[in-house]
Amino acid sequence: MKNIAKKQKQRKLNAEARAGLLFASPFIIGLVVLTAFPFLASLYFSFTNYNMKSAPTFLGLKNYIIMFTNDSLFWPSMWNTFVHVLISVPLNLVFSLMLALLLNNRVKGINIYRTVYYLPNVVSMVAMSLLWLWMFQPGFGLINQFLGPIYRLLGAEPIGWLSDPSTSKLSIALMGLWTCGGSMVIYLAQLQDIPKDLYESADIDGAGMWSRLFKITLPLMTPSIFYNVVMSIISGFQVFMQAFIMTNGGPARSTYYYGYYLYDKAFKDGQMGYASAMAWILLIITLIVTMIFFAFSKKWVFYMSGENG
Amino acid sequence: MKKNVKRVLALLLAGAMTLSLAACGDSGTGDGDGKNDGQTDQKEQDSKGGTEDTPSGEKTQITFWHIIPEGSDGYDSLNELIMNFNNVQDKYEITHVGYPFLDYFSKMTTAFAGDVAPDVFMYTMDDVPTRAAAGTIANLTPYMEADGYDTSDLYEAEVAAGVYDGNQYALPMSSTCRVLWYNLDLFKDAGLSEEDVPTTWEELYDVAHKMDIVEDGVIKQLGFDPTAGEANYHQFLWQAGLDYFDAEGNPLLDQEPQKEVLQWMVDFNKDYPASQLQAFTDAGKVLAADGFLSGQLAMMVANDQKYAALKYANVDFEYGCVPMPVPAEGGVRSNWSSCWSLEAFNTKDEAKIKGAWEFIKYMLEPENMEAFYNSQGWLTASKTANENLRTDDIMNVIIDEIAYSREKTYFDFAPKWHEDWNQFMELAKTGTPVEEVLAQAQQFYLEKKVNFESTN
Repeated sequence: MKNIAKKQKQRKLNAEARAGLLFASPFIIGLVVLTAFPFLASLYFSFTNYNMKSAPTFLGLKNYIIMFTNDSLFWPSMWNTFVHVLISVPLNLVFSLMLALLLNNRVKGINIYRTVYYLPNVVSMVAMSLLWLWMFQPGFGLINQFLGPIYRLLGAEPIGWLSDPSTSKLSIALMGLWTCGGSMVIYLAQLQDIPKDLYESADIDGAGMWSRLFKITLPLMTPSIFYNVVMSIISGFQVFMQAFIMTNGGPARSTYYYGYYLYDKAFKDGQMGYASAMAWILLIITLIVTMIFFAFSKKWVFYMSGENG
Repeated sequence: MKKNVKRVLALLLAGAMTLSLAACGDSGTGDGDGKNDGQTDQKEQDSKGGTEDTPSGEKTQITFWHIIPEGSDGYDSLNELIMNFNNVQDKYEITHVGYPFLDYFSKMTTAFAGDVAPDVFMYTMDDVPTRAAAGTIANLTPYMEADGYDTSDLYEAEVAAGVYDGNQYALPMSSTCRVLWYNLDLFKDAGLSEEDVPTTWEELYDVAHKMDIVEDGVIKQLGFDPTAGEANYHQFLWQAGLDYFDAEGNPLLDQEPQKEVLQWMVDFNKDYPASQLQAFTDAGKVLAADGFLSGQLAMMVANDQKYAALKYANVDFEYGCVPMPVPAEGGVRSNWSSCWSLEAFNTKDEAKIKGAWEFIKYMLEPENMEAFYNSQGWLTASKTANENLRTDDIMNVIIDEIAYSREKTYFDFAPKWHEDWNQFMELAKTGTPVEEVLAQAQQFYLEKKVNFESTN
């Protein structure tokens, strides 16, 4: 009797599993055909000289060897990308956190302010890049027009922004702050989750604003901070469009990021195999950096459920 | 019963979603697994007038891709021109699709890789060898020889650009040239006349600086900028009787004459800070208006299309154009060409290639070239047709200059070597010594060559 009941239960589970798989099959097919296959194909192509015009020839590790030993643009582009990540990730973190704290107030019209700060996220990157290209123009751009009195007061030359190799990366990172609304929304959601009684207890104990911020708010926001920083690191390593539209990798190759070099190799030089190898190196580097960050997260990320707490 | 209903619903839903996934995208279907299996018919038929009910076996379907999308200026007359091919013969049925310029090359690249390229298409003339070497495009020489096709009506340099390994793989569909455009009003304001329009680099330098206006340290007007418009380093090298690469593709940038040309470009406006000059060119990029059109640059190198832009902008100044100035000693009259080609996809399907060839011949007939000009305003590849375009002095200059235009030589290790140069030009413009810039560029191209040869 027990065996029969067990078999009936198993049959029911199998039937449900089949139905579930059927429902999921379009997604699975899409994932395999449109994501997994190209992913694995690019791994194969990275070991060939594929140029999209003729059949690829297997080269073994040659693409990777050339990349590390005889490519004068590989290391500078990688360095530019690392610097971009080092500048943009902390800037984005601080700015979006500040914005979230500011917008976590019950004032009239707060929803309008939240919408306004989120709106740049829905603007296309191309339109945004063209707009900021104009804003950053040293001679007639809005930013230098606004800062003009300060330049005159200090007797200083106007900042070159995108035209100056020493400020071009910072300019692109600053431009990225315009879209910090995405991170802000996540921080806002986490802020709403913090129990009010913690603040009440802190008030009773005489805690001031800064103590509340550093002892209650920020520690309890570490999960969302962790998430946003990881996502910023990943997108930081893929920086490309802004330089492609605004600076063409200049001035003096200061904004020639790894993603831009990869694009040039693939579509300008037609060396899809080499570009695939570059893509895999970028994946490995991003993975390593993210894993290091994950490893350290145990020390500073606190979940209200009790993990790491 | 409930379980069966659930299963049927699940099957129907999954089937519907899978079908919609399969229907995504707009590429043609393929039933071959390589070029040797022949071309598949293009499902993508976006033309007016193309029939879909052609009786099988009577007419071979030929597809043509180009960069004039439906709805753009002159599309209707272009469509009429293309579809008239179906009326003048009864063996082939042409259909065509126009894509925006910015999408076209990625679509073509994907189509080549997926073996679903159109039977005949437009492409760029300067990289025909890469497609010919890969076997992507058909060798037209046998068809030309069979028909006794005479290319004497086409410009020699453009025809030569379509040759690979002694065979013709592409024929020019259009022509371009670069000339020096000048603002006669600014000449007159500076006390000059049309006779002062320069013909040599030395005259260019003298005349240009008479028209520079600087107020409070800001450039208000510039005579000429050797980096503005379509002036570029390799063009100036050609005019000095020099070149960028030798016949084997070795860069020549470490040689003294090449350095002198770049130094001349860098020194032309050396009295003005780089940031000032940058603002001038940025205004063009950011505000989509170049210095010449806005009346702030007295002379600029640009192609023949500048004439249409000037007319469209309805500028309020008198203008003209002349051949680009060349060095007084040893100068070579030459300018940079960038014409479009007509090519046939190498389907290994004889009927399709023959049909593509017939269509190419049709489009290159002088009266059809002229009709194409009337539709799009592009200079034609036909000398005969261009003679009918000599409507004024400006067109006379432009048409005369086509004979001196020259395509960039293609090198497989650096297909866009002229674009690669931009980063070095920028270094030179922002103060890096010319010697250092050219040393870096030389190393860059040599490294590219070595790496390419080691992997191909």
